[in-house]
Amino acid sequence: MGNQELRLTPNQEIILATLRFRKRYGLEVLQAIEQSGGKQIGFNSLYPNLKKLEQKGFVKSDWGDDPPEQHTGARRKYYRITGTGTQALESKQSLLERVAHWTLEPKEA
Amino acid sequence: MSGKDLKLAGKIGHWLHQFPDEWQDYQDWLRGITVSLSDLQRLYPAWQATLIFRWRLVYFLAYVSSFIVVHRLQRICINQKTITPPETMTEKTTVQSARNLFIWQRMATLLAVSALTLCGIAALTGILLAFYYEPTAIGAHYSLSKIATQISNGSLILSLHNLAGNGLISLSIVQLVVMFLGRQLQRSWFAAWVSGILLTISAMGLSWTAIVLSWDQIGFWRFKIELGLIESIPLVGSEVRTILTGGDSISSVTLQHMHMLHSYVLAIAAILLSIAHLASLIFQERNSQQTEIPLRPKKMS
Repeated sequence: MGNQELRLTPNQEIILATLRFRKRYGLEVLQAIEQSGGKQIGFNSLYPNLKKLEQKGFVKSDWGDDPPEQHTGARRKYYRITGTGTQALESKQSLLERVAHWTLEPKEA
Repeated sequence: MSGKDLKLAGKIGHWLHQFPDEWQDYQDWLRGITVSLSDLQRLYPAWQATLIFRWRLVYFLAYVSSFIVVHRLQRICINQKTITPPETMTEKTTVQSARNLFIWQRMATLLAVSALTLCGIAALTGILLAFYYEPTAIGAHYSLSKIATQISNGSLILSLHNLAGNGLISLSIVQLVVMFLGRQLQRSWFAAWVSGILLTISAMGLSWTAIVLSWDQIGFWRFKIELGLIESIPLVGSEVRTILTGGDSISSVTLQHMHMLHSYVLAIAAILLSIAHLASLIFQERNSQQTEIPLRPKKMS
């Protein structure tokens, strides 16, 4: 998979990072970001980003065992990172590493 | 208040149940909104929590609705692309349909080419007229008379400009009729249809804004009567009249407004629309040629 296909937006990166070691549901992702003091993301951009990550194949979702919500009948979905998602996250982190360690090569006289 | 809001969320959930695919995809978002209400009430004053909750619901509704519309349109397009002639249709009727389809589409394309040509003629002659035309109450009529009588080929240019403008209106209307008649045979004609309608409206607008530009008796009084009609439009009528005239009465400012609308806004819009119209018709022909029914009738050997 090319670097272009592994590209992540800042919001997608932080969402993916919350899913790295455990599967979480939407609000839990938001709480994890808020409680860890990470970059705040808006509630309204959370679910569209999760959907985009799912479409890219970076996360997979499963229905939880929780009963449907009483007013709306909506069920809870748990998201977990896939191999491609991990690869995308690592690719981003290695890019940051490379950027941090980059130095200007001295020009030959 | 929260009971009312939760009832509202329930209604949205009930409505979204009608769209199984979107419900599958987005129900956890709705659940997230509903569940987060208690947190909002804990963190914010009641009015603010209600406001945030409702905003989230509205955003959710708008977002999901847009996907519902897009998915429906995509399905319609896919269904149209995969339409094959019914088995009972004989070879003769298939060839006849293909021939009709070809004729309608080719006619629409030729009309669009003609409309674009007329637009070009109108634009070119308009630019030439603009060299001598004076958009002032005193100078308008005099400058047009001068163009018609004293400038080399001025009368020809003026006539061509009028002819192209009137021809554009006529052609656009004929085009709408052609496209309407061929609508059942043509696929993906929506863009061409919409641009055709807009082109007709802008051609009419060009003709209407030109009424007062000649600054003669007929044009002046006709414009005055039509301004009265515009003024009678409920709510916005008097505002629109004031914007068009630039004051209480028809004056040089009115002439300048009409000149600006005619020469810049509507003229550019008409050219762009006629290009878009022709492009969408060419795309339509290409799309149709890729479908199973042959468009161009084959010569019978």
